[in-house]
Amino acid sequence: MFVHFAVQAVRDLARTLKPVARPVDRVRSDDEHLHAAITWLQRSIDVCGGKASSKGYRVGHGWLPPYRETSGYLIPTLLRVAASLSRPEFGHVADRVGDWLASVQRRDGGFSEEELGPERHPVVFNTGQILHGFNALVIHRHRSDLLGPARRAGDFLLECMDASGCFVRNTSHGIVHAYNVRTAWALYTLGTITGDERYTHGAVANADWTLQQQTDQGFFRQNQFKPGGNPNTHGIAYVLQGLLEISLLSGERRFADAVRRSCERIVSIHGAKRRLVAEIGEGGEFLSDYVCLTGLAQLAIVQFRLYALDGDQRYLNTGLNLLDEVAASQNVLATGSPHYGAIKGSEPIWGRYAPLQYPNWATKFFVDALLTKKEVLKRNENSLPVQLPAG
Amino acid sequence: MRIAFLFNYPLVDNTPWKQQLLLELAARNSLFVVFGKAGLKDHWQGYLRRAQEDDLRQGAKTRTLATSTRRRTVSVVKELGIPYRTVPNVNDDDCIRHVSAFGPDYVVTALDHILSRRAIDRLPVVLNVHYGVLPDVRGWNATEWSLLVTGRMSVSLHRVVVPVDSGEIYGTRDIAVEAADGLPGIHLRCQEAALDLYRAFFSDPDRAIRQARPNNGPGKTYYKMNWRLKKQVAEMIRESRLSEAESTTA
Repeated sequence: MFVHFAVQAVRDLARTLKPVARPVDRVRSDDEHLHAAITWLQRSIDVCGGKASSKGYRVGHGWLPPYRETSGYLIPTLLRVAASLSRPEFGHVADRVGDWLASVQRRDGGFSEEELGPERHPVVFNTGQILHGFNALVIHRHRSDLLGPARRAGDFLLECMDASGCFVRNTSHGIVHAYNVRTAWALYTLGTITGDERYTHGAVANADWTLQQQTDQGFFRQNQFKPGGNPNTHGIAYVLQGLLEISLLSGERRFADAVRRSCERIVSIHGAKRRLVAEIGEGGEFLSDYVCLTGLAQLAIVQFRLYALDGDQRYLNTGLNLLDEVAASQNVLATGSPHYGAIKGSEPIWGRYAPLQYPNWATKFFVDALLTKKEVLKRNENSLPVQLPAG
Repeated sequence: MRIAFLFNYPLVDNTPWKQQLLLELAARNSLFVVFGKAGLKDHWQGYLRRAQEDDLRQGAKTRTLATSTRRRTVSVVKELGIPYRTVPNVNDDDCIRHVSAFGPDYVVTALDHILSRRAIDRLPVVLNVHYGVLPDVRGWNATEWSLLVTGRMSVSLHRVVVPVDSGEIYGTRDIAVEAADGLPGIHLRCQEAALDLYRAFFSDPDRAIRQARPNNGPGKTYYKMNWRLKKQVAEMIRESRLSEAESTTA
C-alpha cells in the first residue's frame, strides 16, 4: 500500500513539477485504455458480488462499499460497452445492478446511501443518477419491470422541486446545486419514455432555473458540492452535460447556447493556460493547483458532443487534449494491481478531490469519453442521434 | 527610421529571416534589439514547450537547439553593431523602458507568447507576422489550423493589438502547399514570406499603413493543436487533399 502511494506520489510530483515526458508519450491506443478501464470497472463490480459497483479503491484501505448513485449512472456506460464493443455480458451485469438498485429503493421513491454511512435521508442527485440507470435499462434492455421504480424516483424528484424548478428539498448538504440539472436530464428522459409531461416540464423548469445561475463568464453560481467549497470541473461538467442533453432531447436551443458560452470559455482558458485545474471560480479564475481527472473526462464528453453538433474543430481539439491528460494518468501496465485501468480522483493523487482514491465514477466517465470520441469521429457532423445511452 | 526588435532566447535563436531582415535594415536605419527569455531556465522551458508541441510521431522533428551550421541571431546583432539588451521577459517594465528610451517608430516582434496589453499601449506601432489565414484563424498553431479549417495557407503582416491577431493587416502572401512540402517545408515558406512582407512594409511604411486592410472578419481564436489533428493535417498535405479539409474529421 505504501509502496503504491510512494510510487504514484513520486510520479505525480515529477509530472507536476516539470513535464519532461509529454502526456502524448504516455497515451496508448484508445482500445488499450478502454480495455484497462473496463477491466477495472468489472473488478469494482465483482468485489460487490456483481450487484453494484464499489465506490472506488482507496490507498491504504482497499475497496470501498457499493455506491448506489454511481452504480446507477454506471448502467448506461455498461450498456454502451456491451453495444459498442460487442460484449453482451455487460448487458447482464447492468441488469443485475438495476435489480439491486430497485430492491433498495425507499418507499418515497428516493435513494439514500446506507452502505456508505449512517445518514439515511434520500438525496435528489443520487436519485437522479440512479434514474439514469433505470431509464437506460427500460430503453435498451426493454426492462418494463423497472418503469415502476423509475416513476417512483421521478415522482420523488418532482416533490423536491419548488415552483421555479429548483430542487430545494432533500438536497446534498442542505443547499441548492446547479449541477442538479443532470438529475433534470434523467427526469426529461423519463418523460419521453412514459409520455408523462409532468416530468418533461419539471426538467425544463429546472434547466431554466440553472440558466439563471450562469454568470457573464459562462460559469455557474450555486454549483458547490459543499457549503463554503469552490465549484470544480466535475460539478461544472455535470451542469453542462445536463443542459446539453436536455437541449438535444427537447429541442430548446437556449440550453445548448448556454453550454456553448461555457465551452467557449473552457476552450480559451485551457488553450491559454494549457491546463484546467480542479477548482474554478464563477469568473473562470483558478482556485487550486491540482487537477480533477473526472472533471476533465466529463468536459471532454461535452466538447465532443458540441463538436458533433456544431462541427467546430476547436471543441474537438479541446476534447482530445483533455482526454489525453486523463489517459496519460491511467496505469495500463500493472495488470495484476487493484488500480490497473483505474483513474485517480486527483492529479496529483493527494489533491483535494477524492484524495488517495480511484473513484469508480472517474473511470466511468473516462470510458464514456473514449466511447463518445469514437462515436463522434465515426459519424458525420450534425447527424448525432438525439438519444445516446449515456447517463 | 528607428526600428526596435523584440525577440526571445538569445542563446539559441538562429532564425535566418530575422538575421536577413536585420542585415537589410541596418544599413539605412537605426536599430535596437531586446531579447527576452534570456535565462537558462527560460531556454529549458522553451525547449520543453517546443518538445511538447512537436509531434515526433509523425516525424516532424523540429525541436532543435542552435545548430552548428547556423549563426546565432545575437552574433549577427553584435557584428552589425546594433545595440541590444537582454531581459527576463519582454513584457517587463525593463524592456518597455529600454525600448521607449530608444524611441522607435516601429517595433518588430517575433515571440512565442503574447505581448501584454500594457506593453502594446506604451509602444508605438508594433508589428507581427502571423503564419495563418487572417481573419479566419487567430492564435496558436495557426498554420496547422489554417490548413485544417480553411484548406489553404497565407501569411500576414499586421499591427499588434488586443485581442490577439486582430490588428489591421499591412500585407498578405498566399503560401502554396505542395504534397512534398510537409509541415517543416511550409514553415520555411512562411518565414520567406515574412521577410518579404517586412521588406515591403519598410520600403514605404506610410503607404502600407494608409492601405491597411481591416482585420475584423468572423474569425476564431485557436489554441495548441492536438497531436492527432496535427497528424491529420500532415496526412492531408501528404495526400494533397486540402480542398477536402472542411469535411474531414480526425
